[in-house]
Amino acid sequence: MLNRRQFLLGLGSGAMLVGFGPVVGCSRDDERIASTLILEPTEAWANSICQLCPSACGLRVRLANGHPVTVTGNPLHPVNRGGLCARGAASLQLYYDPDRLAGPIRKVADAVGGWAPIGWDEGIAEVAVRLKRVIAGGPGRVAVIRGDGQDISSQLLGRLVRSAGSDWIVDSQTPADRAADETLRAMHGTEGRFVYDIANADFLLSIDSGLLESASATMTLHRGFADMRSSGGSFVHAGPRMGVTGSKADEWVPIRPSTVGTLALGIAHMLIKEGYEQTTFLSAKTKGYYDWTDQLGMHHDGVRSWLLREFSPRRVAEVTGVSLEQIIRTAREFGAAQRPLAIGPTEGPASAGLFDAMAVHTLNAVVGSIDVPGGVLLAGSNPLPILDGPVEPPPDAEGTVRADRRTLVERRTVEELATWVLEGRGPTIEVLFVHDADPVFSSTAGDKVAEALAKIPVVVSTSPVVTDTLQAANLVLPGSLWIERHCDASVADEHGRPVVSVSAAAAPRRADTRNIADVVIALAGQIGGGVAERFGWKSYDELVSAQSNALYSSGVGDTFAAAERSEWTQLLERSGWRSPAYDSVTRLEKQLHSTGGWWDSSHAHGEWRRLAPGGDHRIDLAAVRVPARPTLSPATAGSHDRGLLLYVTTEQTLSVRPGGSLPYLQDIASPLAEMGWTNTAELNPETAHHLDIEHGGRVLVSSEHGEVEARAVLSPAIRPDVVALHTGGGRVYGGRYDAGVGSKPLELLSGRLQDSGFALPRDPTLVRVKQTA
Amino acid sequence: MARWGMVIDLNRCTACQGCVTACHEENNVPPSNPKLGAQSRSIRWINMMPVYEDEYPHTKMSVLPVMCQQCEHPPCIKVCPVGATFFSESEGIVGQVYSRCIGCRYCTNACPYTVRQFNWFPPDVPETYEQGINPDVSVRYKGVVEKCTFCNHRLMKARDAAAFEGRDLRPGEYVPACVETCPTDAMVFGDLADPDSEVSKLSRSSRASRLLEDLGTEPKVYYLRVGSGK
Repeated sequence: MLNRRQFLLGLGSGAMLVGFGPVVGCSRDDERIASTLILEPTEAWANSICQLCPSACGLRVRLANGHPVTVTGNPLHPVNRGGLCARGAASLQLYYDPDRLAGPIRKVADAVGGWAPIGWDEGIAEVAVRLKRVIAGGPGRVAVIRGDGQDISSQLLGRLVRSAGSDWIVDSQTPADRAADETLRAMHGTEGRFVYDIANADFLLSIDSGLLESASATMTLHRGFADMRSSGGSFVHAGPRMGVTGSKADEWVPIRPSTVGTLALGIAHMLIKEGYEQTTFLSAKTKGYYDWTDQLGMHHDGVRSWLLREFSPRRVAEVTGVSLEQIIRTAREFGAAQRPLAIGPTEGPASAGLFDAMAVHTLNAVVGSIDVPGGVLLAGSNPLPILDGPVEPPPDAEGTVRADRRTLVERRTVEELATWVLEGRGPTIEVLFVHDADPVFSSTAGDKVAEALAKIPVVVSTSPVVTDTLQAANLVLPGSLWIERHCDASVADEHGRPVVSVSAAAAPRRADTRNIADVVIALAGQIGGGVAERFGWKSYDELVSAQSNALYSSGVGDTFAAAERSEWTQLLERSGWRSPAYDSVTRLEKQLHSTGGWWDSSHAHGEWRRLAPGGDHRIDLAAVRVPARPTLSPATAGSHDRGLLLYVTTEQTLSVRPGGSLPYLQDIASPLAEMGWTNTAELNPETAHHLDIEHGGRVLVSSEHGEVEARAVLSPAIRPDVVALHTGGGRVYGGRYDAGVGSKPLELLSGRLQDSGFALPRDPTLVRVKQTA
Repeated sequence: MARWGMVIDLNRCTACQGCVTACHEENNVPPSNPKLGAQSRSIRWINMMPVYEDEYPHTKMSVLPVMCQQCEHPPCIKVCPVGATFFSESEGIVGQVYSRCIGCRYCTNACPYTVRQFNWFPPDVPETYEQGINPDVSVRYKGVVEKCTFCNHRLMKARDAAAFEGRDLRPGEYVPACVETCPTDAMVFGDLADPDSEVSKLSRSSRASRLLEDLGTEPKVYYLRVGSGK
């Protein structure tokens, strides 16, 4: 190793010979680093797809001498149009993670660290033999816990599970995502995903939405929000803590935790009282809203009467902690807007529930903000075949398998799977795949999930990095990172337009990993019989080619293009004209790779029959009454002597899937706390004064279920009866940058396996906070 | 003479911190670790700064991305005893020559925006990260001060490309990594000396202000406050 003086002397004699870069000098006395700078690099760019969150943004990877050095957004990609959030911009740290798995490993009791390397062929053969035996033993014995099922690898794992006669396909959704799905199913009778046309709204009411902190669908929400604000739209945010979302609002309304649904319906009550309800919309497009009389002459209350009876502003003020005047004013402003839009929790492991989601949707229905510009829309579906559907219709004339995307399928949760296993219900799950998910870390009942996983004989993880769930596996077949492989993602942009991203490998593989889609195809081939028949492709590449065929023959959409051209294409397509940038499948495939993918820009609002495909094409608003509390009761009151109300938030910087070690993100964990590498407990200064807590002091937050450590952050932007902690820390296993960093506030919650809090708004957890040092 | 400057529209900024990590990756900012984090000695070229007004429940808060404000009259230069920090008269950019820096930290104390970062320790960079180093930007070592340079290396590359083609630099050919990455187009960059440039027009907005303007440093980073108005 050179010392600094020697290095500078060397620099004086040698560095003059080469283009040593900018005016700004180099003083690093590290020989090996300097050597990478002295050579003039060969520069290249390649497309890829970020898969650290469900947005699936398009990436442009800059390579110097064949190694990726920076990433930026793909300017043609309709989801991010050249931009990236903190996670996408830091994603190369996952690629270069020094603690990534080197290759497949198997749990061996007497090996060092409990794990031993295994060859890919051996690993696949071992799983195939086991699966063959399990499938022969009867149906329902194979399961998968996966991310969100947006890519082919996840769907093929689902297909494998279905082929084994099981429906244990578990998408590890957040409670908020699950609540939104259930709302769509219960009220609209269809599958799909809500999108919020925030960009075109002129009054946005966020009720504890976490809009700008949310880890899911980040890019779509942020871009829509910025456009709305630039167009002069008004914004009111209600939440126990102001957060980044509230800092951007015209007004912050501090509400008690877990009172989202009550506030939404209180505002709906006021809208009815003040004559702002959209009667034409409600009469034509909804059912269950007005009172009705059945054939026997019995009178039934509609949702309208129920709202007027149960959700008076006075009672709502008592429950939510919001002043009467504030409720009335917010309702008037919301009702008077041209294009009002309410958005409920987009994340939040503790507070989001089905009642909240349905109540906010009911509020939107009262003002007719559904399927209109600036309202709630339904994400469009792409024309690709569903690979993991429950019932597969016969192939059509072109050999393409199509399924009705609106068919309701049974959804299972991680907690249900854990209950099934722990209670020993049959048939017994004998093989479990965990892909793109870390349920032991992310579930509110993580300890129970770990216990359940320990009872399953074979748990196969595909994680490329060490996670808490990986420790519960027997075998790890690490998948390649998206940047290292031919990859895909099917999502929707901020207006709900379907987007299919495709990209070739942008960088060389850094470890002995494989594309999990290829692994599943190989597994199916080795199992043989009916399973192999359902996997007719030789490789992932062949399957992607088949997908390209399906896109081509769909006769809709186009490959990505600059925003101006896309707007023109949209106008043409909605007028019945179409001139895609390709005239053959070969050309389409080429275009897919050069631009980054395909999308259907013609999709937009005004597609009511798709949004409410049930028999009479109406929304069933009466569903909101099912999960609601029978009576309103004041939410648990918190105070510095009784205990504070726990409010668990998310920080998108720490919500990276499937886990991973991104030190840039750990360092900037919370934009408001200015502290990284730790959990923070946000407290109102007045509360902190009573509790004798200083800013930056170490505190212990305890509930009857557990305790966690955090650093105190004093902020006047939080209710005095609340303490806010963010998730994302407290991984037990991982790399040098995440194992043991921070703590896990989910441990303060009850962690009920049945998750009854999902349906009913549960009272917030009371916690004690005291400074330890 | 160009006067490179930036306007950050807080109506569009969502504090996602994409600019922060894009900047750090572009400029080879070394990764931090729990120990440095606990000592508040992580290096950040852009910092998110919450600013509170009024008391609960009437609290107002702004979250500002704060980087080197590229002052026209930078206090940091006056105190540097070795000429390690300099002002480019032709571009208006405050630069830092790492090889001249003796680590006295006078500049970090003189900077009213506290954006200058000192390398207290050798960078703790895992070997695997080395292939990911951006070859356009020098890496730094223990004992020197560093800060945002408006991605000066990008300006030089763009100028070289324009000179090679025998033409002037076109608007938009040079933007820092933070501006290129901003997902909501909240950051606008360009030549403030050109009255027709977008950045120049936005800097004259009724919503525009600069940090600590009364100090007379004349920063070239403008913030458009949250609210309506052009």
